[in-house]
Amino acid sequence: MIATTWRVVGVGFSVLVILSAILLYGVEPQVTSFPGTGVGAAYWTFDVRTDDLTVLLLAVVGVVSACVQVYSIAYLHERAASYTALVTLFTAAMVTVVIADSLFLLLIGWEVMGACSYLLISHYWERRDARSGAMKAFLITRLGDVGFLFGIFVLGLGYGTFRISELGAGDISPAALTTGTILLLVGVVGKSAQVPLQTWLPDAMPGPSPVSALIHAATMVAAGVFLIARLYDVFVAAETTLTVLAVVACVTMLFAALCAAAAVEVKRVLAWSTVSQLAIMFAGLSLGTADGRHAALFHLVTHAAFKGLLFLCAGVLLHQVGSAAFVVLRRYTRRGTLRKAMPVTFVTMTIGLAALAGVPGFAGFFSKDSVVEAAWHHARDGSTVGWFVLVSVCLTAVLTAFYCVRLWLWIFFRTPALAGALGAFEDDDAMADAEDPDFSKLRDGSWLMRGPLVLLAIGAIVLGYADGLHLSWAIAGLTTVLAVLGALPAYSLWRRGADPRPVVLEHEFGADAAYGKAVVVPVRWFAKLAVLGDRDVIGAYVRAAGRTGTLASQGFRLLQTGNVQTYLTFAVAGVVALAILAGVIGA
Amino acid sequence: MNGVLLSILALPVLAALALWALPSSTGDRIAALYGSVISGLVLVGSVVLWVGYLRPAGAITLEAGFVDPGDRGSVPGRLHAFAETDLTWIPALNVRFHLAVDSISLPLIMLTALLVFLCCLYSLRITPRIGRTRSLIALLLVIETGVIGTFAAADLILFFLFFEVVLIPMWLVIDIWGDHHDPAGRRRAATTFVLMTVLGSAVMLVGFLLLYRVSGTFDLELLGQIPVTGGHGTALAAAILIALGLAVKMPLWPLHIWLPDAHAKAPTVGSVLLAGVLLKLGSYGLVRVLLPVLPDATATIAPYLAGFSTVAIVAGSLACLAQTDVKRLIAYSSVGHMGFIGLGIATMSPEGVAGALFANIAHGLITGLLFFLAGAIKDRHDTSDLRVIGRALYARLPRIGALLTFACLASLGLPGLAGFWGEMLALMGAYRPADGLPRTTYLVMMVIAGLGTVLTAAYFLRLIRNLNQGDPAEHPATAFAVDLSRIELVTWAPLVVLTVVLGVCPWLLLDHWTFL
Amino acid sequence: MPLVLPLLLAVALFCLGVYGVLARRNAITMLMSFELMLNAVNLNLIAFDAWRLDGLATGQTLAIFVITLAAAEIGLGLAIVLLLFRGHGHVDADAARDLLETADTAKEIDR
Repeated sequence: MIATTWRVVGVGFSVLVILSAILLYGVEPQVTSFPGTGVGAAYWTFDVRTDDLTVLLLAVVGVVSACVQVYSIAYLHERAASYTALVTLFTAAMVTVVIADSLFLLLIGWEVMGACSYLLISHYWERRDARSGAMKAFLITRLGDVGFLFGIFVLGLGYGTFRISELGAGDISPAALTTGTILLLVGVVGKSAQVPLQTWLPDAMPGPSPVSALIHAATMVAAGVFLIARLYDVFVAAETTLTVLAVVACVTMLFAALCAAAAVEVKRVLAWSTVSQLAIMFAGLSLGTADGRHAALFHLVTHAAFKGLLFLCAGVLLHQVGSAAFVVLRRYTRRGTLRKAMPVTFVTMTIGLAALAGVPGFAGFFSKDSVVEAAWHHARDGSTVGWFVLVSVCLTAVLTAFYCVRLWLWIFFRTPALAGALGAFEDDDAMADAEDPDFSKLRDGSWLMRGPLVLLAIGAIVLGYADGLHLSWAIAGLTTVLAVLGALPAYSLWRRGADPRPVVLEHEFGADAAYGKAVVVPVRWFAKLAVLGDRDVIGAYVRAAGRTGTLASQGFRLLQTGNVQTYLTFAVAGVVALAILAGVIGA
Repeated sequence: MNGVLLSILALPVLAALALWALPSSTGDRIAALYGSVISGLVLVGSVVLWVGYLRPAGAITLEAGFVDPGDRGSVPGRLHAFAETDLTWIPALNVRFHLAVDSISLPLIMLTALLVFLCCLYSLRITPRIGRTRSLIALLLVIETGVIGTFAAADLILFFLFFEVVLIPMWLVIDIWGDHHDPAGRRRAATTFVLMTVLGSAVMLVGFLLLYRVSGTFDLELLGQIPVTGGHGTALAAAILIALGLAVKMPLWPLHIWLPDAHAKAPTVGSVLLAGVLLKLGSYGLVRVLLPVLPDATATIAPYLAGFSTVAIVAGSLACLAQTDVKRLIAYSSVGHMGFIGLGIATMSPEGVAGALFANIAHGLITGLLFFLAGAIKDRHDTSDLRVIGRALYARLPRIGALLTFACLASLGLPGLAGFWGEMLALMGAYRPADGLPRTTYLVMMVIAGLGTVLTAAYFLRLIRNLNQGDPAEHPATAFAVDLSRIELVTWAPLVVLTVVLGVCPWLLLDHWTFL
Repeated sequence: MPLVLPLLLAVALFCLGVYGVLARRNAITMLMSFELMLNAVNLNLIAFDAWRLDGLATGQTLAIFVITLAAAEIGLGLAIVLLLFRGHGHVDADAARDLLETADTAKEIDR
């Protein structure tokens, strides 16, 4: 009953968001003021604003969250009330971020999203990986948020206002500008899981798949991109920050794409690809040009569609098969049944992967091309950053095509080279030969699950043309060649039934273990030290003070002999001593 | 309005005397009901005072209080007396019976009245196993008088007097109604508490006397108008002694050693009042006595105060990470939070001081809720040891588990809940401390304190993970584990609501501190 | 008469009294020694009064005051000695050690 109410509220709210996006479309940008508060020199309001960026993001958030809410009705049955309530709260928080014209209102939405994300990742709190993944996600984003808060201080107090629409107008010292934007960037890097704070996103995957679709693909992690787009004037003014952003983005996109190429679980591959695609958006933003910003936002929209779609497809696999690990899926695929049993999932997932890989005609192709084009224009103007971004995005395109094709072939098709025999993933699977899995229950799921898939699949194709078709043939040809370059090795490896996974990539460059050794272990040590210090150092002084008192009283007790004359003797001696003292002082 | 102030001050203690006059066979429920009615009246009175203060016609001092927000020259924490009572008391010593409140003390008085009311209400159904509820309620009422008196005192000696009145009842509450499994431990905790705080207040009294020697008056209103200038010599000594005495109460690292034991061994209502109200006496005293009265001397010691506060944030959070007892963990979390308050005060800037005041209120609400929850969990499992309680509280006590998660999120300073604004403003104050303070030092402290918030998040998430989450199969429900009862819901609902309201509408308080 | 003579006498009397109180074991003797000390004080008071000759005769008043007090005191003291004798059968101050602090009594208090 409660769950049903929440579901109605959730879907209704998402529809409301879509409706408001439609109503606000084309309306003049405006700011609605609310009375604010403040103390001392700091004064902030809770203003909201609407402009093109707001409408764009509202539409994205509304559509994806509506799809996810509808999908979840069929997907999730246990603890549905709290789940739906949290997803709704999350959507509301994202809307807050999008419409905020006040840095503090934005921060509220920003961190409430983090908290919702934490609670949703740990939705299956019986599972150890969900618990630790949730904790890690919250802590790492929180670390970034501290930087974000300090960035707000520096920029807000520097400009003398916390209104986003007024930032960038006042005069501020270049040092403060650079510091402030770099600090904001720390928050963005944490939220969008860029290097070096990337480790939480792949570990956040034990959460329910619709949550991954909503939070870890389409909206929350994209909030970082949104923030930089929102404060673009400020960031463009700080050249150092943009360079840092470009470096972070380029490193991240290659790093994440390499990790994705070695991951052996569908959702983990998708998570790393999210990190990589976000980095492409950041690369677009880091160009500092209007084209770059446009391309990044374009990619954000198409990415929301196809990555949401892919995660929902992965959700269907999880729902039906019970696992999204390659090992398990291969058991079904060996008999070639997976794609026949779930035709809708297969087709939509193919569309999603095609869009991700940048196959011509799909949405991802156009948006990635626009990033490449913007980088090329910038590079042609003699910018090192432009060249840097251009090369990285091209390399990433190759890797993306590689891991998309790898994923697609290995989970949906049986290897010709090893038909009937053990393939690359069966080596690790003790159960591979033991028994045939039960195929009879595999199906696409109810229309509640199929509907969002089809809708997002249409989006993953159509959105590419939404921006108007202006294609530079040279660049389109280049990216197509690059995609083919990436796809061919994947295909040839699959034909041979091989799946080489270098240890470095499988351990994701050892970042996680290194952080564990560098941060978690010392903190535990310090924690023990703090407790011991309290007990044995500070506490010891207190106990010693108490014991001194007791000991002293025991000593003085001995004077209590019971003999009156002894007491009197002491008294007389005392009086004499006092008299002598008085005489000495008087003299 | 001064009649209202006098009556909310006198009512609880008179009611307590009347309660003791009743035969000791008085039923627990009757005593709790009586206490609820009295503390409810006090709560109503304090709200009436606040409304009277806000109403423009009645706010005589409000206009005088408002200074242009841009004016950074004004001294934070000065008393702008409202509902004033000023009588000659001990003329020979120049001590006056001077009571007054303003927008700094009124929210704290309301917080006190609310928490005592909730504690009495809670005692209607849930009382410590030792019994003797009649005396417990009476002591709670005496504590209420003491705390309200401290917040309302406008004379240093009166301040000291009320400050001391609070100690003995709280000592008895811990000693008599504390943890019934560990009589020796609760006695030790109570004794450590009373000895350390008495030592602190003795030191503070010496500071007051030195202050009198310099200024010739004990009157806070007068001292606020004509502060003692000069940052060395007797003024400095007075400032150090007063800060030291109040730091014990707050408590500031490394004087916090009494706190974890006292909180862990106290009964639920005792812990709630101790954390929610008593710790605020220290921070309130710093704002009221130190900042406006000894501005120069405070500026001299402020960097050290800030340093110790920062250490408190980090050390408190680290100690929380290694705790195995839920009540001790929450107690140590208070050390960290009071560190933020100390840091805010030590910045001496309007932002920092307002942040400290806001954090005072927020900490009272949130930690009160946390201790109620910890008490509920302890009552249900007869222990507060995390290892014995086991995990998967979400499965066993879903509502209490959810509330605990909420309280933890609020306490770790999630924006949108009350805990955030205080910490944010304290950090902002550290970003731009008052003129004359070493800014670089404060920036370093701001960064360390910022990392401290991450540690805060870490230990609260660890608590949620170790207590709420986990495999229900390994930790089956116990037979008497009843989820949220009606009285608990009624008692905790105001705290939850206020936490959200203050988080969303910080101007409810902040707007009244613009004169800082 | 020079002031020093009565003062010397008073000192001698006082020292005698102190010696008696501190050194004699008999409680009656101790009480008598107390009287000696009081009277030494009285002598002092009178001597200074005669020397200063103030109109109020403060010293003499005070001396009479002390005599009254001494009478009251000796009454009480003898009552105590009497009780001591009844209870213990002796008036030996050294042997009357009922208030002695030992390790046992310390524990008794701590408990």
